[in-house]
Amino acid sequence: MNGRKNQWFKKSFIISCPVIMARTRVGDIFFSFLCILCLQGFWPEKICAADPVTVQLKWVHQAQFAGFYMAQEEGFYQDENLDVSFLEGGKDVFPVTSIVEGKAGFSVMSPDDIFINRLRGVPIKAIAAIYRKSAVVFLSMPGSGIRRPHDFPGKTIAAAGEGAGVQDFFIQYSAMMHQLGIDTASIHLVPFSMDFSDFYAGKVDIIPVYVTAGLIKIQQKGLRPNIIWPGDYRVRFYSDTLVTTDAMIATHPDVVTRFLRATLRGWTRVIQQSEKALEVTMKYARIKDKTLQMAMLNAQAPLVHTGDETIGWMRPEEWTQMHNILLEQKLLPVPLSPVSQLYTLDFIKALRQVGGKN
Amino acid sequence: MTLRYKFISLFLLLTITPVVIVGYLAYENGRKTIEQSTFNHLSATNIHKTVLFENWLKDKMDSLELLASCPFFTERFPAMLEAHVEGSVEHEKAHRQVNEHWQPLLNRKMFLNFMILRARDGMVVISNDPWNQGKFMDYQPFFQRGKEVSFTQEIYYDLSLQEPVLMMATPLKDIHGNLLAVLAGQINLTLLSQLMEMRNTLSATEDSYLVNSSNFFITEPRFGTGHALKKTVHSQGVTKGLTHKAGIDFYEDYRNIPVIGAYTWIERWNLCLMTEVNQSEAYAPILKLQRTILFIGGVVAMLAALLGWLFSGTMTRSLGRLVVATREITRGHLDIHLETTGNDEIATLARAFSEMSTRLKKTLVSRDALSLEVKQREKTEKELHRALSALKRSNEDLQQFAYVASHDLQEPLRMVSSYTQLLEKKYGDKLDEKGKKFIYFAVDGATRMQKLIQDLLEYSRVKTHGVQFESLAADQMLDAALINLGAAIEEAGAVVTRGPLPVINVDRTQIVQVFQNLIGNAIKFRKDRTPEVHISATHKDSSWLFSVKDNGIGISEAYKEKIFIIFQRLHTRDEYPGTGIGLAMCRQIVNRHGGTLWFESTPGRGTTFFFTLPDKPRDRIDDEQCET
Repeated sequence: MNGRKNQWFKKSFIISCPVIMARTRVGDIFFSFLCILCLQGFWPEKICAADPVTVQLKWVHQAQFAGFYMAQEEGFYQDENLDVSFLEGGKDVFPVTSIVEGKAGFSVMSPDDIFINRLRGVPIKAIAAIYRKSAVVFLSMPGSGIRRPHDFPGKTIAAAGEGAGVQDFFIQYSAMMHQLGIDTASIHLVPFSMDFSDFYAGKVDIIPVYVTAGLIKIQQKGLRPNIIWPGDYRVRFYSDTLVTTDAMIATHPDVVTRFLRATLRGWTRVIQQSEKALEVTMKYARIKDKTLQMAMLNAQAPLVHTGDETIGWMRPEEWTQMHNILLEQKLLPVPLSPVSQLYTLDFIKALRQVGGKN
Repeated sequence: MTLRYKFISLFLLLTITPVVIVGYLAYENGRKTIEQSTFNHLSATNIHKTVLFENWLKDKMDSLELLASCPFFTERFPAMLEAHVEGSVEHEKAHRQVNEHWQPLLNRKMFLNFMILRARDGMVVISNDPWNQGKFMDYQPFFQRGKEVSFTQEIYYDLSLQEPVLMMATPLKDIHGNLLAVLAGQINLTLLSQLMEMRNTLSATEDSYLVNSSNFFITEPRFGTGHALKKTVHSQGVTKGLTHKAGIDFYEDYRNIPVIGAYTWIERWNLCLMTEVNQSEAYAPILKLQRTILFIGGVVAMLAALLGWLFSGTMTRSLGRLVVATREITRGHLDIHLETTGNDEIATLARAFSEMSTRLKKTLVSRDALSLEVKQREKTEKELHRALSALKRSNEDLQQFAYVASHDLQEPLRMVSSYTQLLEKKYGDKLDEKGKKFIYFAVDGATRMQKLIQDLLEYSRVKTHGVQFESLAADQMLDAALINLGAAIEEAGAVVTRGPLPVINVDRTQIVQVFQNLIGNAIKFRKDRTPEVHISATHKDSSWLFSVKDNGIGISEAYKEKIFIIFQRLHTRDEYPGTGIGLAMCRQIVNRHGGTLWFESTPGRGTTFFFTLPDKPRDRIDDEQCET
């Protein structure tokens, strides 16, 4: 912040210098001095070229990213002198690639993606957790008798597949089974299908969904499925985290701070004003279904704002727990040491010190 | 601004000002009273609800602790837990027995769920809902803290239940006090919302709800569903309440509706209790009062305006008539009639105005008459002046004639007289007695004529040969006259006496002449008596009144004016000699001095001549004046 102020001073000083040079009398110099003060106070910040920032989203435009839209539409990024643009995600989009290749400065990613990529030596770090609870749940049809992971053996589950999002499902599924010590040999694992038709048809007994997406779709059909949350079975993952590269942190910590500050302001505003959040989401959302997007906003609110700590907050022990789970189920072949290489608390701590609770 | 609007404004000002002041005070008082009463009510509600809420939780906790301390859990349950293998016959048996103990509480809907969590890892070993069995609650504060003490966890959103959850937990210990597990109960939050909704007023908008420290609704507010742990509220009241304070404020609530709200921070539960009522409802009585005041104010204002209008009407009508009348007068129409009834100032003004116009009319008539008279007088005066000038001319001519005649006649007359006397002297002895007699008659006639001419000359000289006046003692002039009359006085043996005489401003010669003539007459016109003449003077009306009194023959009243005419004689020359010019000359002299001459007489006993002379020195009187 102070750095920025100094830039302003320099800028306005340079602008004012010719004014001072052209006049010699004391009164005129005093007048020029006043001009400097005015310029400093009122010169619009936009004049200075905004730092361009691109964000790679995890999935297609939808309420899941409402905080980013809010920050953009409410001018929070502009306030931070950032020119932010969004890259949409999708089934075949790998967010990590975007930030590693420099297409984007920041990315929304699952924590397990960070683990895997970090293990491969990709220098990325989480700077904040947006979904501080995992949005992944497993569903079974009401009356199917499948209400706990213990009921899975002998059933068909559609949790296999590659790509962002689908990978989460498998990781959480196998982690949960591993935690509970349930033998998965008898469980029939089939690829995940977006349309849930097999689930409705009874061909698949269990499907993983995001509470913010699939669950809403299914509930909109009037179904009240049994919900199995991995968190109840010791699989507690963050869901969406905000990630950037080590290089970015090293070279542009100021941009990272400003971007994070504006983004968290956006998320706070989303939690506070769901109607406004819906309005800005509808400008971006692929699926122009207000009911769906609103349901998504409502569903994600407890994940974003858990009532515990500030929005975006992360805890080292939760990262360790995630690390251990992945290690236990051999999704991580070797331990990542130290675990702290996966994340940095510097920015959220700095922001909390300055701005207090969101 | 016309008088009418001024009056209306004045009436409005005079009436509306007190109404506004009184209305404002009444409104302010009412508002404060109602505000205070609302404050008190909201604060009382918050205190009441806080107590209710805490008692409600305590009641639940007491039930949970009672359950945990029952002999079944302390004595028999530890063994069951030891042998716990889910799905085993023992488990089913234990489950049944445990259920029997907590079923009454479930039946009373105090709790939605019970769970027994293994102390070792937080796993749910037994729950009335088998779905919960096998879950790990090790991360939950109600497990972590519940291992040590009875604990109520802040309400959180349960992802598998997809709803807010309030959990309570208490340690389960064996008879020796060893921790076995944690007994946790999920409280029915609907009941808490109902508790908040309980109201002791008929208010249509009073709303109580709980908010947690992260601004989330904990209970459902009156005007919303699905808010609990789904929506946040950032109203001013909540913001203040979350600073751990209690108070009352005016702000917009979660619906953006202006409310009066009481906020109370419940320290133990980290919750803020809000009780709000719409300002529109709270202020309804005040709004009613406001409307009433406005209505009364409106009526009073209309009445005032009407009164002002009527009152000013009475004035402006009268004044209007005056204005019309004035314009009429300006145009020269003085025949105006003004209604002048009433006792007020305007009626008085109208009367005065009416009177003024009447007088003006009269004055104008008089002026015309006067102007006519003035013209006539001027005309008369001019005629008079012409006549006077003619008279003066004629008089001057006459005097000139008299002077010239008397002067020029003397010479031939002297020749007649001289040559007749010479004739007598040379040829007297040759003339007979008759001739001598004729000559005597001729000489006598010539002498008399000479005397007449001399007198006439004197008379004419009174005016033409008068000298400047000077201040002189009347005594001196009298003395001079007596010296001139010395022979006559002596011959008649007359006695002349005098009183005190003043100093007067006169033509000496002429006044001597007056004394001489008057005293001479007094001596001359006598019979046998010794003449006695008395001269005196008295001061009267800024003049000296001289009198010359004698004891002579007197003058009849019939000759009062005649004797002052020149050459008029009352007696024959034989009786009393003289030319008959003396008195005429005296009057001429006295007149010339600004005085008058007259006499009073009793025939046979004497006469008194009076004449006046001004006591102040004065310029010589114009001859014209003397003439008149």
